[in-house]
Amino acid sequence: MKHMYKKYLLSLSLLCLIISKTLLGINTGTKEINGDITTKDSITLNYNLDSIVHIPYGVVSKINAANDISVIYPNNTLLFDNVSNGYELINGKVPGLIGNTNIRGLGGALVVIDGIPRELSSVNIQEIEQITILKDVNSSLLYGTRADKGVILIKTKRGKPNEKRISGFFEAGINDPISYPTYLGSADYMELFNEARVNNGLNPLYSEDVIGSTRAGTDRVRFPDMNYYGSEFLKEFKPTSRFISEFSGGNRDAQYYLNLGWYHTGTLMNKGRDESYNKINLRSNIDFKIIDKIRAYVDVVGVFDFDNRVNGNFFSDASTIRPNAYAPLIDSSLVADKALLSSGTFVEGKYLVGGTSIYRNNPYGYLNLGGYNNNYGIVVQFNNGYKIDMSSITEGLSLNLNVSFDFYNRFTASQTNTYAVFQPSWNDDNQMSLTKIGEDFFSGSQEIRNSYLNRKFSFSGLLDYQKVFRNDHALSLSLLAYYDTFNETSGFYTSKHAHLGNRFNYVYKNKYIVDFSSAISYSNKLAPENRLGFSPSVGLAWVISEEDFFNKTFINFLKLRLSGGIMNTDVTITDYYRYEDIFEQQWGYSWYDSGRSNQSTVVSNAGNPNLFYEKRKEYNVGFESLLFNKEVFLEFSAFHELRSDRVTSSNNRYPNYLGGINPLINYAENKFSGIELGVTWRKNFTDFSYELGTSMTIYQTEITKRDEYWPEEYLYRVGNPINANWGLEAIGLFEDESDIQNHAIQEFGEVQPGDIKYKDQNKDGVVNDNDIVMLENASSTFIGGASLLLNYKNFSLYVHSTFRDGSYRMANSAYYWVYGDRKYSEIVKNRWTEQTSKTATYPRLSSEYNSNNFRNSSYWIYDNSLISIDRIQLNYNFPKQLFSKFFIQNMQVYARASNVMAFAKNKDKIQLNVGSEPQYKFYALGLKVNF
Amino acid sequence: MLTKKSFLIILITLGFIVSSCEMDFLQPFDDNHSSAERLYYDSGFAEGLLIRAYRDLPNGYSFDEASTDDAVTNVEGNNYRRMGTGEWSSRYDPMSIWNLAYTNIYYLNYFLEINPSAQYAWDEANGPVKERNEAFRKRFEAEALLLRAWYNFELLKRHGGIAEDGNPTGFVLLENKVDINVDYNLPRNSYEECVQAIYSDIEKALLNLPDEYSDSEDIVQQIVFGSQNKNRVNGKFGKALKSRVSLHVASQPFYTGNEYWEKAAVYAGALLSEIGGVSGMSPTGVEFWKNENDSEILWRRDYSEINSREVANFPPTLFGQGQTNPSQNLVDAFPMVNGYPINAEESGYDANQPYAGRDPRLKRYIIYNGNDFDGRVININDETDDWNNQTVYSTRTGYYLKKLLQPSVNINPNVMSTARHFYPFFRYTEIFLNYAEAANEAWGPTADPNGYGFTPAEIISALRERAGITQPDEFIIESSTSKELMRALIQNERRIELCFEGFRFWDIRRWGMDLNETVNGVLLTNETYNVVEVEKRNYKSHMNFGPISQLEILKADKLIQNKGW
Repeated sequence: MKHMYKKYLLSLSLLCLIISKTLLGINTGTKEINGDITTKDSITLNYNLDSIVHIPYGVVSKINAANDISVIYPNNTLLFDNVSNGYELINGKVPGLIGNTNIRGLGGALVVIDGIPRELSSVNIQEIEQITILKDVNSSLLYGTRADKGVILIKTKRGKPNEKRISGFFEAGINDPISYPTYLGSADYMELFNEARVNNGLNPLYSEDVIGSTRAGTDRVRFPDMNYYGSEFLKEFKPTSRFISEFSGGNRDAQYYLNLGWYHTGTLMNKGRDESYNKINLRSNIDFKIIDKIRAYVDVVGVFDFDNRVNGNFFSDASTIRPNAYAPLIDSSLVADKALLSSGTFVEGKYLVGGTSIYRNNPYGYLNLGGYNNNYGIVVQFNNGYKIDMSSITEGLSLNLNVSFDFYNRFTASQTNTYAVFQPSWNDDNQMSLTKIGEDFFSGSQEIRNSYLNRKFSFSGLLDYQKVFRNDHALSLSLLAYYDTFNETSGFYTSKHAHLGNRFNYVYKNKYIVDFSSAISYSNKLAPENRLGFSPSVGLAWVISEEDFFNKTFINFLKLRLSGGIMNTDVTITDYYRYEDIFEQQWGYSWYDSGRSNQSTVVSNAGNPNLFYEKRKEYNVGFESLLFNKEVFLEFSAFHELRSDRVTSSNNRYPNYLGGINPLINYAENKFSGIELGVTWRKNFTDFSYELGTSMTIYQTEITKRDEYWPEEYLYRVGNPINANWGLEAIGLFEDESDIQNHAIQEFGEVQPGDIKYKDQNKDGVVNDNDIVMLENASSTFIGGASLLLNYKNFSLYVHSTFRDGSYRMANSAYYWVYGDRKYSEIVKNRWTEQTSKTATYPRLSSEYNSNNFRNSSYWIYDNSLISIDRIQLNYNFPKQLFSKFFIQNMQVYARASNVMAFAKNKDKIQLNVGSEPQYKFYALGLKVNF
Repeated sequence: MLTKKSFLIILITLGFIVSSCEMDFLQPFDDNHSSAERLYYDSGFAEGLLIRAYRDLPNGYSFDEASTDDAVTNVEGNNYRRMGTGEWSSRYDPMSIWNLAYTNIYYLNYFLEINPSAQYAWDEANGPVKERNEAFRKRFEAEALLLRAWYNFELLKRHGGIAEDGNPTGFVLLENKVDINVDYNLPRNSYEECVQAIYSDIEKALLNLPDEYSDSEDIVQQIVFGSQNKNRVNGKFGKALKSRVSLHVASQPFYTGNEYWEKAAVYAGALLSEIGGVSGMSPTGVEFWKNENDSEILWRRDYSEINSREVANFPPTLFGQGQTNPSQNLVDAFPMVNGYPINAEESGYDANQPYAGRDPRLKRYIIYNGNDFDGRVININDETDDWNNQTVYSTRTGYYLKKLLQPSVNINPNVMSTARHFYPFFRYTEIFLNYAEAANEAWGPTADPNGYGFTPAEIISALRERAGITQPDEFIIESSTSKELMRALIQNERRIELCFEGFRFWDIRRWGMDLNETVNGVLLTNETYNVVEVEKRNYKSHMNFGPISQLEILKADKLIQNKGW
């Protein structure tokens, strides 16, 4: 590899030499790069040919971009769509982006904020100037090996000379839970559990008397029936509010931009400590001139979050503890033993906390007595950069240097209390007595735990040359050097990233565009002779509408583009020195009754000196077009990605009798291919305008190479989607004994009527793991969004929706897989019994673990496709003249709703959270003022 | 104005920065990790390869009885429970030791390779270096061979059997470190080859290991073989292992002659003679787990102060999880105190008072209704959480485990306490039973052709006397009349004496017994004991031997699967 980069450098210098020889000094006249095509700001898809788009270490006019990138300007969309986070801002708006930061199914893209890889949560969306989604290799490789899954590039706002702005934004709203799990009450549970026990050949556990008394509900201490999802514990709504203020301005020599934000959400819990989450964002971006040729900037960011929680996990308990498990509260007036009473702590005035030796955590207990966990997080970011104008050397040459320091610190301040629980029992005369389990211990002190710190340092140097020669030749050349280090308290190694990059962009007459970008990365995870990786890429575009022969009547603008490249990445190698045999001392053995001991020596890594970079090989074709008087904008791309030489363990290759100490190898390969489409249609009338937009992605993944051995052809993963549901093929429930007798033997324990019947794929008379097949894809194959914006005079209405299709999920959580002592959800009501054998939708109940029914199979699979109305927002802009006296430039009020509606076959499953906070609808009112 | 030149200069400078990539700021953090060289200059590091194999030796009971007729577990989804109810397959093998054994065999072979050139002594202060080095190398080699024999036998027991081609087949015998870069597709060796390899490792080891480590005046002897080496494998470990291996092999259906029975009898007999035969039997051996220094213990690992065994097995009223539930089948195997089995006419067994007049071992090994832990009485009736299936932690059979638990331990969260626990690899009772079984098969119940001074009948009698059955009892006299009757008695004694110590699963396979005896329990309602079915066993006829993992065969196609899997 080493000789390769030398060749590359040599040819690069040669190229520069030729360019300078032929062009330099011959023509120094400049001209605006942009052509004459302009269009009014289009706001949903932001296709403005004039617009300047931020790309890695530079800007380009949209028209001159040869690669596959999409842009979002929050400033525009926030006029009518006040999303609350960055994910909402981009989801469903960008062709090729298939949810959160996942581009083309490759996985989480690299988020780059102001030139440095950073967390998306460290910016609030009001401070974002522009988001560029870099989808292809050609556009993203200047960010080095970590950009292997594409890049989401975020540029924050900066002050402008002589443009003073102050603005304020306030929003308050409520989160309305969409749905809660539904569990059976005690009496129903007991009846069904008895049925389950009978199914398993056991006697019923609960007598008719107990069930009757429970149903009567007169004595909830003796016959508990705990409902967690009622108003006893939960409020109707959870409040959220946001406040953001911005200040910007400056003069010719110095500019500033300040942003201060506060975010608050309350709690859904109706009891105990007031839980809350608060976040404060602070940003100050300052640009100033040092001397004429040198400008500098200093950015400082602080994000502080405070998360106050009780010491217990209510939603997890609510989904696991059966309603009759224990008496939650015991009225102290019922307790005769005064000595015992005085040894307990009352909650809610007069109750002792109930429990058993198994259930020693009771929500009444930990919400009221258990102490707290307060989590604190602090992010500090600091950027300092210099732009040195080197036009004295040659016109158009500049040098940009940037140094950044990031710090992140988090810790938990907690007070951990324990409390006694009381278990009641009754003697033959129905006299209650209590057993105390555990002791009250109320810690007076606060403890600091989970302390974590990381810091990042990064440096980049960019030599930039931009010039237009002889009016028609626009040339842009960038050379980049990048280096960063990252340390964290939990890690032993400092991770280091270093690469060099170049971009060469040449535009002839605004018609022909060539973009050649490449990077040389240095990976210290590879053996010294394999460390350099050369990643080349090229992008070509032809603005065909600029040609003389082109008739612009219907098609006002048309650009064809083609890009491709090979990118090296080492992100899948998580550890160092994997290329060497590593011996390590580990825990060992002690003898002489612990008087002597020695550590063991193990081979913790079998070295593979040939380990090298994983590759992303890719090509794209596409076009962008404006049609029908520029009312319609169309963009289209088709892509083909190959992730090859993937770093995997060789455990599947070597038999385990060799010792199981196997090296990492470059072997597996995955394919991603698909098309992306974006359409916007915009029309203006006098008082009215509308804009309709959609973006969609159709894609598929395929495993093309993998080290695997299976006994049957259909078990091979190769040829199947990367994320897929594998399982047995269910063919109903066994009807009766003869049905079982006539079927292949199922090797997962004894079956009885009402158990799931599986297809014997290989017809060997036995159903076992060798009969597993690929059932359905687990990733969506069609995904996108659609939006509508209507403007009428001072009103505007915006609707945004997203949709997905082609993905399936397995309903295999404890809510759906009910057996043994699990809490019974309403799902079991339609279980199999002899009477309901024709209509049952759930297998027969089982009071024990049931390996036959509760394993992945097509019985549990459900269609995950969804159309969701994500947001509706109605805005009113007050007439400007109304406030002219009050220094107010404009003012807007709005009402909005999120997650309002969903259309899906399995909406109940998709919208249900079990064991965690529910999904919410959100309703809010907001006010925006510009001074 | 500098134009072209300066441009090029900058470019070239940048180029130099690149080409000096070896600069420190790009290097991975030097973590000082060790390479193979350290094995040759760091004695602890070299010995560490051997220690790696020690580390994986079992250090507790597996309670795999939950897949036999002796017990069930109340843990949902427990591996042994799933296996016993019909899930055992070449894809799901909870009895497998394949991966663990071969990892350790790799390290042992590695160790045997470097041991001759490893340095264990450096200075003359504690005796001559050369002599000490030699002594250490010899001892360590012997230890490594013994441990390899241990892992090899586990492989043989769990994976050996009659292969698809009908031949008795063992496992892949590896006597050297294997290089994955050469052809690694290897066949299984024959059963006999594996047995011989195990014997040969043990014999070689016994040449250089003392029976027990003991102190000496000689400085080299003291350092290398002194008593500070207790709990590392010794000669006794090797002899006991040889006895265990021989018995297992002798009872395999494809060994028909007397050769291995005699071997098994001789290996056990020789070892027992060393402690004086029956007179050397520990009087407290019935409750051996209560004293780590009981002479019953032949070899064990370090003890530790814990309570995890009690947390897992105490009944819920004592705050335990009641996991291992002995079966009615096992309870019925305990004879009456007069020595007769409960179904014998002379026994005097009363089904309404099933625990009265029984072999005292029943009270010591199993918690039945009314039995106690150090006076803490456990009532298994409908008044308490200890009753069958009352809570997740309640028994499923009406019984709880008492054997192996320290009654003094308290796991009430208010007053947690621990006690000494240890795991004996071999105890003399096993060797006595090994001898009785092998000698009975080889020579009959009352013969002593080698003049050890004890016969199978005498050994069983001594065990029963220790248990509290007054000797000679009528039943043993009856049983001594034929090999077959004595065989049945020995098998029953073995079941009782060694219950919950990991023997039952393989014993019923060796003996060709019914693997599918339904596990029963008892349900106490209205003061009557009703026997109830608790769990059906679901084994197929080929399951006398374990499988080879399916994936392993796919990766190396010279491996042949055992018949039926």
